[in-house]
Amino acid sequence: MCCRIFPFESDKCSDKKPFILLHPQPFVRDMGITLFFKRVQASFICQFDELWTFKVDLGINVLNTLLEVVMWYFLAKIVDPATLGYENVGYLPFVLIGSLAIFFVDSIYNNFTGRFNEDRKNGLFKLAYLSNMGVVEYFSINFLVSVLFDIFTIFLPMFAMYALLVMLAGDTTAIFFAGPNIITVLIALGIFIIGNLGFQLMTVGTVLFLKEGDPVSFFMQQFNRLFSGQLFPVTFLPQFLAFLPKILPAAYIILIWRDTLFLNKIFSDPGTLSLIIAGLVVNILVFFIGIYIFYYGIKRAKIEGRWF
Amino acid sequence: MAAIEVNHLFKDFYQYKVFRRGKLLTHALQDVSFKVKKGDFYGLLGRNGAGKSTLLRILTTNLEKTTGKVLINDIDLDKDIRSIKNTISWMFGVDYEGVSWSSVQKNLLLAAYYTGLHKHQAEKRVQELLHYFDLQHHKSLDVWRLSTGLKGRYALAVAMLKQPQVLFLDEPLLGLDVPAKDQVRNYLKQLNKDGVTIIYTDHQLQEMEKVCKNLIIVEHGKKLYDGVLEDLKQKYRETNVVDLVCSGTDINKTLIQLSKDISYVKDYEVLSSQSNLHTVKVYTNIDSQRSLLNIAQYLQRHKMGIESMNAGLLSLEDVYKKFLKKPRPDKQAGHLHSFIRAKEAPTQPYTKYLRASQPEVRGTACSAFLLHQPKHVEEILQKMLTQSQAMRVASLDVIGKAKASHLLKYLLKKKTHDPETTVYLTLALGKIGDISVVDHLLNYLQDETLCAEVLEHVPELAPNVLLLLHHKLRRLSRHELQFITYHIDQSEQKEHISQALHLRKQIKK
Repeated sequence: MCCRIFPFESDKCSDKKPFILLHPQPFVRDMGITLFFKRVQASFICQFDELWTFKVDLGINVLNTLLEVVMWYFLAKIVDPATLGYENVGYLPFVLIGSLAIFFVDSIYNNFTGRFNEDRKNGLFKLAYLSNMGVVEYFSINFLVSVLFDIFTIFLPMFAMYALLVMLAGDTTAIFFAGPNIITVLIALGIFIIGNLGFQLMTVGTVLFLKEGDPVSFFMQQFNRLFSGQLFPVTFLPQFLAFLPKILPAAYIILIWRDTLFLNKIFSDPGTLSLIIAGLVVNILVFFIGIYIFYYGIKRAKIEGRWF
Repeated sequence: MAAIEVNHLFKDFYQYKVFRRGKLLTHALQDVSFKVKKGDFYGLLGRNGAGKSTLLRILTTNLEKTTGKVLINDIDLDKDIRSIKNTISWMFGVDYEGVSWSSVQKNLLLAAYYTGLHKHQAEKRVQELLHYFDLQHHKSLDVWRLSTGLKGRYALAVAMLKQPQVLFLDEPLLGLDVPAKDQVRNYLKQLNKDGVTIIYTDHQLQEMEKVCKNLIIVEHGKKLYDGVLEDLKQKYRETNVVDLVCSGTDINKTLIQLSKDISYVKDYEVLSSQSNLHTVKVYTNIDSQRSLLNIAQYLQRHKMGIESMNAGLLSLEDVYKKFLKKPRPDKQAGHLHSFIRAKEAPTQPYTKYLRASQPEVRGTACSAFLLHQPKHVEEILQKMLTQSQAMRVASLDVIGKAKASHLLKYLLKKKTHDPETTVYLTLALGKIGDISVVDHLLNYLQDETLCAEVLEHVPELAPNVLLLLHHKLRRLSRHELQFITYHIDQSEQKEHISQALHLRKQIKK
């Protein structure tokens, strides 16, 4: 069979190469939600292969999560819950909520920046840049893929271990989990994702123009751990440090989650609503600063010749 | 209609201190202008650091120009980068991996979705490309398992996913063996036949000659030539050349006399000399076939035996050399190279070049006289090390090429020069295989200010030095290794450095 049916086929026809590399019609490029999820799916499949190859690492991650919960269990034995400001709340659920929120700061954050640096080396970001893929879309794909993996390596082991310990310890902390509470939890998470994305863009941007060193990661990890209320309520902070939680995106998510799950304060509650609005303003601000630094970083890298 | 139009393009690199722009480092591109027609296959030729990669990175929107105008498919680079990126693609070397622990097929599908193809289009396109680039049998292999040749084809397939109108390739044949080179070359030719405009860079002229129709030669950021490759050869056809292999002593004296006695002999060059057997090029004004007999008779009269003789035109390699060669200060000084190759002592009139003010000429004279008047020349070389930067470079070049380890060690002990020269003396010792310098080299590689500079010399280090250095590097912490690999990644010859140090594999492990 001759390959003349392909309009741009060269004169030398061979059965081995019946395809042409230039199609008569250019491809239609789609930027819709279907394409976004196809990208997430393809990225997930490829990265799953990689994750599955390193099974020992996978096991170590799960073990780390389990041991962390055990650590809270022992801390719960020595910390008096009444000193935490939440009546009838044990230290174990108190820290669990904080740790879940911090997980979104530390773990996903590390995955993001790590993935970006990896993608710069292996060429995938080069491809994303060449394909005019939006910055938000690129980071969102990485975010979703990271969360999908973390469900199995962090969330499920964490909850399983927590449930086991609660059962053994006979903890009776009440957690409010009605529809409005879940909506409040999701609103807080959504607000936090905006700020988190901003911090990631900031990290990548600063690394791009500083060449070495990552001050944003340091700020994110250490400040969030100490001043966002993960291990103790932010009201414990001395007066001169009281402003810090107000500029940390993670502080809002921890506060809103604890208030809604332990104290049944939902989004319509004036106190929670003001927290949501303040959190939204801070996180949007962080997001825009992140976008600015990211584009500045790219511009500098392109001027200095360090972009690809 | 032009696929690429570049007008008065300039690119300067500056040192940056966080937010402040520092001193000017280099003029990477200076007033470069050219046009590439749609469907052309253009070669971009130049030495390391000539500016070809800088030019390519500006055209692919990965580097910002300083001034000038660039149009790609009639779209202004300053106005609409997004539209330009929709019509171009690139493959920079064979370093594209994607998710390396996943299969070729899955990676191609991921790349197709990243490119923006619909589900049915993506799957169809991936199958087409797997078939076209003969990757069907390797589609289930993880990318990291691919050989360099296969990786070249895989990277090309990724570059072709989006059907570019213009394809940029930066040394796509680097590291490939001969059959793999042939294969990739054939794919490129086919792509060009199918209408893709290709811009291709390489160091090797023979490679260019096999695929490119047109050529741009860049040197020190300036365009030296832009046009049809065949025209370039044609342009120099008036220079005739007699290639000859002859035997005898005092070849240089005889040839100098030849160019004085026979008027149409323009110049000569001794290419190599071994056991009194010399390979020589004689340049003439007239048809070299007509001059052949006269030259042969003249040499025989001067007791030179003719082993073989050939009349012809300049090869493309010669033409290229002619382009890149800096103008000689004078013809006589140029003959010093012929004396060096023939290992003959230059005659008395050439001693004046040991005092030449141009570092290159004085360096060449030192090389020519080093074997015959070692003490005197070594004094001159030491003196040169305390003079200007260019003189120091010339002196180090001579010492390094002469492999004079005793002199290098003596100079290192004496320490009359600056710290920078100490680094170069150490590197020179490393290049001639002295393993005592390995610890110093390791220290330099961990030094922020020296690492980049030292890495550029790593591929030239002697194999025994590289082996020991590799063993010592294995003992470094992961963080220290990452510091070094970061600097390797910034280098233009990162492939060569990684190969020499085997560092990348080590970090992956």
